[in-house]
Amino acid sequence: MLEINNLRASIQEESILKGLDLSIPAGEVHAIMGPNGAGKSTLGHVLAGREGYEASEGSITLDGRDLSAMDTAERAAAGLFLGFQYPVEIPGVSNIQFLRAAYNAQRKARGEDELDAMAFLKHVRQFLDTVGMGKDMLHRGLNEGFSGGEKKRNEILQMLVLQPRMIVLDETDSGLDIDALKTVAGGINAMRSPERAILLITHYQRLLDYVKPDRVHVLAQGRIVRSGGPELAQELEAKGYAGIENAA
Amino acid sequence: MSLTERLQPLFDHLPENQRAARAAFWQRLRDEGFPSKKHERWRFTDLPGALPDALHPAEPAQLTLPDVEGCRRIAFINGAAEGVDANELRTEPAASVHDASDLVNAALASTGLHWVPSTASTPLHLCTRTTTGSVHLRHRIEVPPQVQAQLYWDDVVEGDADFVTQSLEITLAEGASLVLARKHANTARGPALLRTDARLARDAQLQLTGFDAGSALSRHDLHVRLDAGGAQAQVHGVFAPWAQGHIDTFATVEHAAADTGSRLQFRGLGMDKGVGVLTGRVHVHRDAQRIDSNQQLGSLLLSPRAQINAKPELEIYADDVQCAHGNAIGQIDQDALYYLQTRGVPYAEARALLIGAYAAETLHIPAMPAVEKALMAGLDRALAHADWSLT
Repeated sequence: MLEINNLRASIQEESILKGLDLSIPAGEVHAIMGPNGAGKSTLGHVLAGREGYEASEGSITLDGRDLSAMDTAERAAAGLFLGFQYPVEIPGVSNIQFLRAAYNAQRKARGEDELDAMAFLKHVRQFLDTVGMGKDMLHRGLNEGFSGGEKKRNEILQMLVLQPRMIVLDETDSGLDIDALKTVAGGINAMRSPERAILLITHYQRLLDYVKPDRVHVLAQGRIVRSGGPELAQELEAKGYAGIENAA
Repeated sequence: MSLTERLQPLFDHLPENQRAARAAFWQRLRDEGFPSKKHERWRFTDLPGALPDALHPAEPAQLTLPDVEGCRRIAFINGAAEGVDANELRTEPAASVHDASDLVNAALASTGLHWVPSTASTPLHLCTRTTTGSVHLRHRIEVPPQVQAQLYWDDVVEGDADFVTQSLEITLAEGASLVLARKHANTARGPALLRTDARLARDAQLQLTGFDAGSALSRHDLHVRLDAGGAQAQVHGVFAPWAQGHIDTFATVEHAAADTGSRLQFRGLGMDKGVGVLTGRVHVHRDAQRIDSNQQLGSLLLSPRAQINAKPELEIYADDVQCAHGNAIGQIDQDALYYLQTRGVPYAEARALLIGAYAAETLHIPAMPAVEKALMAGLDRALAHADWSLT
């Protein structure tokens, strides 16, 4: 589903991704782990097409479509979802207003009819219990005054509402207590499907205790330096990244 | 040609009896002239320079006007009253003028609305439209004691309009309240000069919310005077110049008595080569102790060619007061823009959503939701008019 070949990217003239290859088939959950500064978050923004994060070389395709030819919103409409490590607060735009604008923009881009306010509210409410959010949070400013845990739950709610094909979650587990971690993991597991792929970007193994990955990759110095099964995450937890970085 | 020479045909066009009643104002205007850019209050705005050389009396026109749910609509189309009861039509000249710029309107205005609402009055929708020539209206609203009134002033200046001045005088008697929403758009070839003067008696409340947009020159002088204890004014405004638009707001709140309160909140949106000028002035008189004033000015520069000149001013002669103020000018939050786009909201729609959110709090009118919607629709139209290729 997601194919990344020889991806190179520089941020402000500093080379961050240095020939990254990654293939994630539909139906699979992959995890990318790695030390600070390895390029994990940069990968997420390059995939999403953030301004200033353009690939200088290599290719990224989703379902065979060239993502680098699309702008950020077009990538989302094509099925890509990036969950943020630090979700942005936007006072004045209510959560429900934002969700509906996003949902209908994607439907419109795909040539589908937009949902009216009532039908959309019904669509959203079916996911509130999964993420442990009350209806009142739909009417608050987007992420405004939300705790760290509430912001991450809200990212998962957006993912459930938008039903993307390819999900990239950038350190969604950071800053979560154990109950919030279980809730977030529940939301991710609810999205597992043969039609969908998920990429978890994380520092630690603890999220992977609740969302079992099919493959684990180690990103160091801008490249995938090692790949393996779920046991690789346990090995990293026990031994750290030092040996792998040295090998890279 | 001087300003008064250009205005002479308009004064001559007035009926003989009206000319006589306004002759003193006309003579003062000839003697004193109009403030130039050398005058501190006009240093960013050249009104005489924006006037076309030839000014003409307005011609009658037939226009389709909007309806607002729950409001009674009256109109002045190119200066001609429509749906205005005879006892609501003002004919008398101004009693006095507030400053030199007010002289033009005092000398040339021959009519306007005179509304004295009662407890049974339906909210009023005052539609003013100018599509040709020069129009000068002088409105007056007197809210009697304990009466609560609502007014939506919906003003459009467009096409061949060459010069518009409108003055709105408001008095709120003891315990009276007025919710006043105003929407002004000027896309005409000539300038518009607006004035709002409000005086509040004991325990009176004024909630004024304005939205000004356009591609031409508009100047709004806004003066609120709190005359007695308990009087409270909330003055909110959003201005959005686009193309070569120039919108100048000079807002003054005068605390003339102790135990009065004011809240000023303005948001500027500079688009294209638009220029926004904003002065927020709070004047506290010597005996006006324990007043509570808060003034917050904020602006977004949405184009590299746009300009915003915003300045809070405080003149305080009492010593037991609270006068908070702030002024910020920035650009649209790129992180927020990116976040919305990652969820599939296209760039232009995301930008409009963020700009709308920035203005929404200032344009919130709980008492008149249909009017709030009309003001927000005005903002959407201004955003749609702007040329975003400069960004």
